[in-house]
Amino acid sequence: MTLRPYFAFFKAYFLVYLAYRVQVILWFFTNALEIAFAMLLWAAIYASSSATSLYGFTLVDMLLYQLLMTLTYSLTDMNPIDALLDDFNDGKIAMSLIKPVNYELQIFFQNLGANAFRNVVLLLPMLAIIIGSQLLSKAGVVISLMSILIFIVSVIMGLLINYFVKFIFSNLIFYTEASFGLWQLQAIVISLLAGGIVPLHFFPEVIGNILRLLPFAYIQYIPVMSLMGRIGANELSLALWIQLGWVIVLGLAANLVWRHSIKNMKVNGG
Amino acid sequence: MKRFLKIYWTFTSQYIKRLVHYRLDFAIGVISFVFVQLSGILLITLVFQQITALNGYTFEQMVFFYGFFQLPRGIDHLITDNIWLIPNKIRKGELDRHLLRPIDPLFQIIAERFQHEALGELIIGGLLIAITFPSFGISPSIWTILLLGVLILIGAGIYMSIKLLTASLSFWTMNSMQVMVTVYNISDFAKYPITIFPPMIQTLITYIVPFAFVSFFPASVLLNQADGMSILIQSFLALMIILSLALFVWNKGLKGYQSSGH
Repeated sequence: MTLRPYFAFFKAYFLVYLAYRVQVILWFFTNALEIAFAMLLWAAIYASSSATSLYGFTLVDMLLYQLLMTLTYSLTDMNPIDALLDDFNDGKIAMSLIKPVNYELQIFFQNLGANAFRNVVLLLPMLAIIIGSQLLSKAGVVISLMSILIFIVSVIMGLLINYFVKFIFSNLIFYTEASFGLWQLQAIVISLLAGGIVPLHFFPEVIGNILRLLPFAYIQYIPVMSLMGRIGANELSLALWIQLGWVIVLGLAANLVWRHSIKNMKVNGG
Repeated sequence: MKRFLKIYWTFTSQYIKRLVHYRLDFAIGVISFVFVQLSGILLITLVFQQITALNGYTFEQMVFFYGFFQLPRGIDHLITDNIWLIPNKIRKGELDRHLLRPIDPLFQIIAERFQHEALGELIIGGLLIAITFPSFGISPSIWTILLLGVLILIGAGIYMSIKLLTASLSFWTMNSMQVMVTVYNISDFAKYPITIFPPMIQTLITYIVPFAFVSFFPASVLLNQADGMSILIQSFLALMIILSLALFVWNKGLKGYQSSGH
């Protein structure tokens, strides 16, 4: 099988987003507002605390964590659910299925094109964050070339995990016919379990340990914690192996689920 | 008026028929909103493991404010959620359909959908208030409760006006969805007592995007921390200003509307 036709999907989506670049800039503002909100909330929380650190995080660590989580969210962002819901609701999916391309891969490359465009726009702010965090990190966080390399590898695996998890989840549309609810449910569940609302080590130890084994932690939390130097060398290599394990398991599972769905789906019109 | 109510009921009953058909969609929708609320409560709970009060507010008070926040938001969701579709309708030229009918187009758009998922917000909000309020030892008079009802409706009106104002920008920009999202998300600050945020933010959500009137001030009235009458007057003024601005922009946009494509 050759991947060449799929680069056309990648390019098409990259260009679509190029046409809507004002939207992307506004999307950047939305993110900036969210970060500002999280930071001000944490600043208020730390101001009310008698200790300077909560669960081993000082306020500066927390702000850095929030920034890096948002950054990693953007880097690993994939939304197969949007395409699947659209194609399912108006029956277009029937047309996609008779074409000689793999639908799962088609959506993957379309998502990747959108992701790539957004992250090119974000490149400058991202560099500023990384350099800024270097300056802030005198307290102990040291970002080396090696840790950046590990971060990149980990983010790529995180992106794959995110895609497979959401792809499997979005297949529920074929069985439940729920659209908006499903979209909102997956967004909040993944955000919560991935450490987007509170860092996973803020949870009670038992729950935190379980969450660290689930695939969601490997989308953003593990890459971010590794970049912040919060994971020891031994633990880190174990974490990366677990991450690779999840990529493989979820990739296979996504394939199985998809095969089952296309055999059983009922589509409108088409 | 009677005619509008009748039409509204016709639309809503059609929508309810749809819900009966997609029962699982209904359940998942409500559950998804419940989940969103619970994750917010989780954050407060985990943080309060480490601190005893946040800028003077106790855990119960934080949860109370969070619960109160859901009520006007939920009512607005339930009734006027379809305003979110205005940018799409303008861009795709679907507004034409509404303009051809002999009823006010804004009314039609609002009546088109009854957002049942918001019930999740209202239920959780109500529960959080019911659980936390008794611990404050305050017994509100019947007056206060009536006043709160009015304040909550004004709050829902403020939400609606802000959505309509930002959605109407689509008449000029073709797609103002992202602006809508950004401005709407400013309401996040109103989930918590606004006094925990810096003065600049307090000014922003009181005088510029008046989300503070949606839940912080009414909730403070219930806690006897603010004077009901003066909050009522201020909220009403805030609503009038933002609503007339929204209607002005909407009507101006509608006048110059040129359909797309076809």
